[in-house]
This record gives sequence, structure tokens and C-alpha cells, in this order.
Amino acid sequence: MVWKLVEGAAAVLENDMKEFEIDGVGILIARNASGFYAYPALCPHMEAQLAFGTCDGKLITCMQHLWQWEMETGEPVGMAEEALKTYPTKEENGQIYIWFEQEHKYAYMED
Amino acid sequence: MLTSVVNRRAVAVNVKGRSGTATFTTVPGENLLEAALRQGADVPYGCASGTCGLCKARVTSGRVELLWPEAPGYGKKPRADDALLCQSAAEAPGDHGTLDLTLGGASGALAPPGARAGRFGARILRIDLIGDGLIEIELGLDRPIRYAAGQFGLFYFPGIAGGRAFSFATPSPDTESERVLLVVKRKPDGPATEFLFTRSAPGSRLEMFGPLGHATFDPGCGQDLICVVGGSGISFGLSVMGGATLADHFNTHRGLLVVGLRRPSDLASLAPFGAMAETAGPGLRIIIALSDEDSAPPEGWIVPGVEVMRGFAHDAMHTAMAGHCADLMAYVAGPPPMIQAVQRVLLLEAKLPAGNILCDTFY
Ligand SMILES: Cc1cc2nc3c(=O)[nH]c(=O)nc-3n(C[C@H](O)[C@H](O)[C@H](O)COP(=O)(O)OP(=O)(O)OC[C@H]3O[C@@H](n4cnc5c(N)ncnc54)[C@H](O)[C@@H]3O)c2cc1C
Ligand code: FES
Ligand code: FES
Repeated sequence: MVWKLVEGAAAVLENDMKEFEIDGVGILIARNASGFYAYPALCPHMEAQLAFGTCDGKLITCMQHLWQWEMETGEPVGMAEEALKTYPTKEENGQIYIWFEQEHKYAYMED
Repeated sequence: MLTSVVNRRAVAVNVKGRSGTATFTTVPGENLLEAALRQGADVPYGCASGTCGLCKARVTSGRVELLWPEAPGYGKKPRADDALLCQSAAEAPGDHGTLDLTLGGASGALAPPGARAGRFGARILRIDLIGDGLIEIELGLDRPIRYAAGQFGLFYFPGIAGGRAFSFATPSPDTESERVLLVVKRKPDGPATEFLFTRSAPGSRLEMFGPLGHATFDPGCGQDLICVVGGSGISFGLSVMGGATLADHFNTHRGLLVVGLRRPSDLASLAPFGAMAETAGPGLRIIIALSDEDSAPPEGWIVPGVEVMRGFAHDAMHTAMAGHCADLMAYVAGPPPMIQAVQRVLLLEAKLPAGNILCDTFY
């Protein structure tokens, strides 16, 4: 069983996002009209918290250097040079779960 | 040279990025970013002053001297082999005879070689107080410089570690010029601005490295322009929108310049904006947004072509755009919170693609 409950994630508003923690790992939960999406909390570019960026229901933007991604797929848009990694999500009994086997990391996080 | 760099010999450097490797040589007294840009190797950078982190690389062979190990650009969890190009100097080559670095993060793009930057000697010609804690400085350089509207220089001060970034407050001259103008805001406990406000006078000497910066006006862009600046970002606003005005851009395109100030005492005169409005004509709208609710604009602030309103710069911009947001370029400069507020409106309300937003964050 690696579906993990993200406590409080169901309260994220539509076209908004918020950072949570699962087993000490930062997870960003974003929501639009079609559902909930989960990604690592930090930007694929550099160590910046995506939660300080914007989410309009279609795109997620990092405020640091304005990289953008398709919210539903994590595909890079415009200036972004790398995709957002994603965690599968599911909604059950009004709660949000993510499929969390291990932390997704970007190249700059590896030692 | 006014610098803390102690490397004593020339070192050949390779900076590996995603789209290629930049190769250059450093000479004693310069940091890695200056060495690269001096030779036209266009490595990524933003602030050139240790804060944005865009120039972060990893040393794979050889040794560097970290000039400012505590620089915010290293982030919360710096690695032992991290080096900010703008805050490191070559110390020794590795086994292959070169100092090798790999650009950090995913941003390995090496843009096509840009205009070459260099070190200039600068002499202060004039200092005028133009508002509360705000001065205008005219500098004479030891040789002519050419720059694009919106660019900045990195200034070195006697006895102060590291360079300080200040935007050129004049539109790019058509020809090279030996004069540059700065608008400088005093920073509490800041040694460089303290030097400019209290210990410098006409005749004082500085050094400058430049021109720097990617947030520049392109006369061939063919787009409407929005420029929103706060505080000392006035310099950037005068340069970008002044450059566009000189290029007759507002004969064929619309422009909006919003200058965010707290109160009228921040800036004694709106004359420079009045002059810009007169030259640019009706295509350019200029708004001064005053965030301090209690302040009323003084009489002397009534300048034809310049509107004064209450509120934050991002709100004034939003209202003035009134849905007009099709194909435009947005230029934003000033303190980080103001930049973020403007970016939010442009991204979320105006749905402007991020690539159409160019920012200079005045860290
Ligand atoms: C692109 C850009 C354009 C700018 N344009 C303008 C402008 O037109 N007008 C204006 O008023 N301000 C401008 N600023 C802000 C200006 O650079 C700062 O206000 C200025 O650096 C303050 O210097 P200080 O010594 O007084 O203050 P401090 O707070 O002491 O200086 C802070 C800065 O100094 C540098 N620094 C500090 N310690 C070290 C060290 N040990 N080694 C190396 N570097 C160090 C860092 O860059 C740091 O951000 C700009 C900033 C940037 C990034
Ligand atoms: S850190 Fe997110 S875009 Fe650069
Ligand atoms: S360019 Fe070096 S930290 Fe900004």
C-alpha cells in the first residue's frame, strides 16, 4: 500500500495550490475543475518553492524565473527547460491520496 | 583594481551547459562571470551580485576561491563544490590544465554570445538629491560604452567587498557615450549606498563592470509595452520607456508606464516623466501610483501627460490595462514584493505568457 493520505489537501481551492509534507518530503497539491494534482514541492530549475508561484487551473508558474508547466501533465511551457515530475492522485471519501513510493528528485538535488 | 579577488595567474576555464561549453580565460582580479562576459561567452546570470542563483555551477576539476561564501544565491543547502560564477574566482586549474565547471540545476543553456562587457573606470561628475533618500548621480566613464535600454552596471566601491548593481537611468544612446546616469536609493546599513550618500562627491572614483542584464527594450519588437517600476526602479523605467520613446515606438504602439512610490516626498519632481510624455505623444500613458493613503500630491507635481493616483502599482497597472493584454511586452523592476505582485496580475489576470515578462529584481 503506497497510497498516502495528504491530510487537509481536499481543502485546496480550485485554481490554487498548497504545499504539504508526506514522510518529511514536500509535496505540492494543485487543484482545478477536473481534480487534484501532486508534484515535488520544489521547482525543477532551482531550489524554489512552487507554492509561492501561481496556478490558474491550466498552468503552474514558478515566480523565481517564470518557468511554466501544464498543470495536468507537468509538461514544460515556454522558457521551462524541464518537466514537472508528478505523483498520481486519487480522491476517496472526500480525502486526497497520492501514490508515493519514493521522493521524486531533480538533477540538482542528487548528491 | 577595486576588488577582493586574489587569484594571481591566468586560468583557462570551461563552463559546461546543456547546449554547449563556454571557454574563456580569467586574469587576476576578476571573478568568473566577469571573465566570461568580457570574452563574449554568454553564461547564464541575473543579478551578477550573488542573490538570484542563476549563475550557480559545480566545480568538477580545479579549485575556485569563493569570494562570498554566504551569498544568498547558494540557497539553503549549498554543496561543497557549488560556485556562483559571479562570486567566485579561479584559483587553480585541475589535472587537465583547465578549471572545469558544470552549470547547476537544469539551466545549462548557453545563449548565443552577447555584447561584450568590460571594466570601466568611473568618476562622479554630479550628485543631486532628488527625493527622500534618493539621489541622481552622473558618472563619467574612462571610455565610451554602448548598452541597451534597461541594462545595469556592477559598481565597485573603495574598501567594500563585492560589486553593487545599479541600472542606467538613461535610454541607450544611439552612439557610444562616456556619461551614465544612476538613480540610487539609500539602503539602511548598506555600505555602498552609505558611501554614495555621505562619503562621495564630484571627483570620487569608482569602478564599473558592464553593461549587464537581459531585461532590455528591443526597438524591433513590434509590440505594445508595459513598464511597472517601484522605488529606485525609476532608473529602469526612464531607461526602457525613454529608449522606446527615442525610437519613436509610441508613434505606432501603445505604452503604459506605472511608477510606484509611497508618497510624493519620495520624488521631488515629475519633470523627467513630463518630458517623456511630451516627446512620446498620446501613445504613452504615464501613471504615478502612490501607495500611502494619507498623502496628497503637491502642487509642483502637476505635470501635463503624467497622471497621479492612489494605490499600489500593480493595481494601477491592472486598471489601466482594462483587458488590453493581447500582444505586449512587460518590463518590471524594483523590490521583490512589488515584482511578485505585478507578475501575479500579469500571469493570472492578463494571462500574459511568462516569456513576455522581463524583470530586474532589485535585491
Ligand atoms: C539588476 C539590479 C539593478 C539594480 N538597480 C538599482 C538602481 O537602479 N537603483 C538602486 O538604488 N538600487 C538598485 N539595485 C539595488 C542595489 O544593488 C542595492 O540596493 C545595493 O546593492 C545596496 O548596496 P549596499 O552596500 O548599500 O547595501 P547592502 O545591503 O550591504 O548590499 C547588498 C548587496 O551587496 C552585495 N554584497 C553584500 N555583501 C557582499 C560580499 N561580502 N561580497 C559580495 N557582494 C556582497 C550583494 O549584491 C547584496 O545583494 C539593483 C539591484 C539589481 C540586482
Ligand atoms: S527556480 Fe523556478 S523557475 Fe527558476
Ligand atoms: S548572477 Fe550570480 S547569483 Fe545572480
